[in-house]
Amino acid sequence: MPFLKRPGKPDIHYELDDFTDPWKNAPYLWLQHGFGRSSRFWYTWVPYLSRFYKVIRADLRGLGQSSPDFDLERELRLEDYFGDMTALMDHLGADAVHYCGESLGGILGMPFAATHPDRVRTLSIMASTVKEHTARGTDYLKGQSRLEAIEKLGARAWAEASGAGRRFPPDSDPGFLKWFADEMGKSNTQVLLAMNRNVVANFDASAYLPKIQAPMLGIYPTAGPITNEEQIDFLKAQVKNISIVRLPSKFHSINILQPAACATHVLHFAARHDGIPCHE
Amino acid sequence: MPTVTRKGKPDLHYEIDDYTDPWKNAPVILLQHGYGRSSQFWYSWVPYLSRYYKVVRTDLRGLGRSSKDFDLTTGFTTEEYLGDIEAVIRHLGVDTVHYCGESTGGILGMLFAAEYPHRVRTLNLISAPLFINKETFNRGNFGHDSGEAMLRKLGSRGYSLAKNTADRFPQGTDPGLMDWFAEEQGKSDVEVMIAMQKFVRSADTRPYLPKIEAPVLVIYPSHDTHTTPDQEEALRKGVRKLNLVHLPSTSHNLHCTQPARCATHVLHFAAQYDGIPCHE
Repeated sequence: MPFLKRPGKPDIHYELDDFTDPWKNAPYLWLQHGFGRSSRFWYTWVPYLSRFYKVIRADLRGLGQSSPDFDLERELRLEDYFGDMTALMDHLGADAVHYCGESLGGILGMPFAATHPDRVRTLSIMASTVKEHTARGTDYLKGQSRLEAIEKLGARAWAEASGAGRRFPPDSDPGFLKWFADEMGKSNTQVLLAMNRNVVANFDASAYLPKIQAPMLGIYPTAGPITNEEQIDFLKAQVKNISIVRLPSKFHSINILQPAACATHVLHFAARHDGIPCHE
Repeated sequence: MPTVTRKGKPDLHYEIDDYTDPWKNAPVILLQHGYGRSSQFWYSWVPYLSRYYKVVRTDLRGLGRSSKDFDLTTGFTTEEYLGDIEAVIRHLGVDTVHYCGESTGGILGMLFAAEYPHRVRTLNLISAPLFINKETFNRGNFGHDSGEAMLRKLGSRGYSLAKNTADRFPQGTDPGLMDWFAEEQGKSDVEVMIAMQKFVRSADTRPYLPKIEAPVLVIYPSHDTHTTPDQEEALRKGVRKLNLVHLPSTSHNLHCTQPARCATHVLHFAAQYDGIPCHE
């Protein structure tokens, strides 16, 4: 369990999974988890990618095993997140990565690619909203805001309440639903509340989209409860070089529901960009 | 990097790679390397297996990161080797494993499955001879009077380089793989190589075959001087539940040159035995 340590900044925990040919110097593929999650939620993806790419999974500051020991009101700006990312890339010796983010991980990916074009080979996003305030799907909150729900319920109960029926089908494997709620329930509630206030609540990627130079892949559910057609059409109109894939699902967390399909799309997208074979 | 420690026996190192669903308690596939190699030589297999199985790669005594601090003249016996394998399985806290061995790792697998039938779910053998035939024996001395004289003269790396072009790899093999292989095998202690060679050259699994109860999958090159038709005949006669697959190749090494094919055969064989799906 490696950590990136820097003076005056929170420790960043990451996992590196690498089963590439040692003599080939394969590129890095960066998996960025979303709100309240961690590197652990990507475990299903690693086998599909790690034969051909060095797979990095980093925990966002304050989440997973990354330290919550920083000023939650003032140090959750986009530049703080991006500083963590580039510092870890420098630490690993990665000039540029294929960036792949799910939900909030993808939301962060758009401005990151726009402001750090030299660090991003390709950008893949999974079920990420573009303009948070026009996103839909807060039924489970019963009139409360997400902020109120997390405040009232705490991380574990919020994770459970927001899972089945919205992120996942209601008849999902109970073992999986429990694992997901337990794992997401480990999140620091204060970090979640601060992230919601300072990062998610008023996020709007609009201004960044035309500046994204990297080829971009958007993977969206056909009928997800959060992302809508208007946002996807807006992405297509604003991003120069974008491919959109719709995977059949009524639920939000397609990265977890369909790991093989999602990861294989991302693998082929990256490998085509690099001109490397991803079969043997 | 877990280590098995025992009183009066060498420490054994193994790697475990696990991307299975945490709530499912997936079974273990144990990958056992061959002569003068280590757990490192299986890296290319891990992605193909680790979504559905916990993949354990052990270093045989004296090799890789396992200790060579034991009496080399008396420490290479069937009994010691099989005791090591069982000690790793005990350390994992499981009752049984799918055993997969390449070359000498497969010879040990036949012996282990015969002597510890209650520990083996399925037995998978990649380019594993039943015994070292005279031709292999003589050619493997590379013009020297004995295997020992050859190893003392060439060293581990020199032996590996000679073997690379003799019968290990087919023409057209990536030179990067061949160099990496020799560098990695060259790390092996030459005294261990000498002592182990004596064990390998005296091994004969034929008397053990009828005692193997587990279903056996054998993957052989279509044309190889180690696994000759008389050996295949002995396999067919001796093993009750035998499945034999030939992969097109004229050389001994399959597990590094055709990892996807080999590993997928092993995955499906194990999963069919367990009745678990290995697709998603």
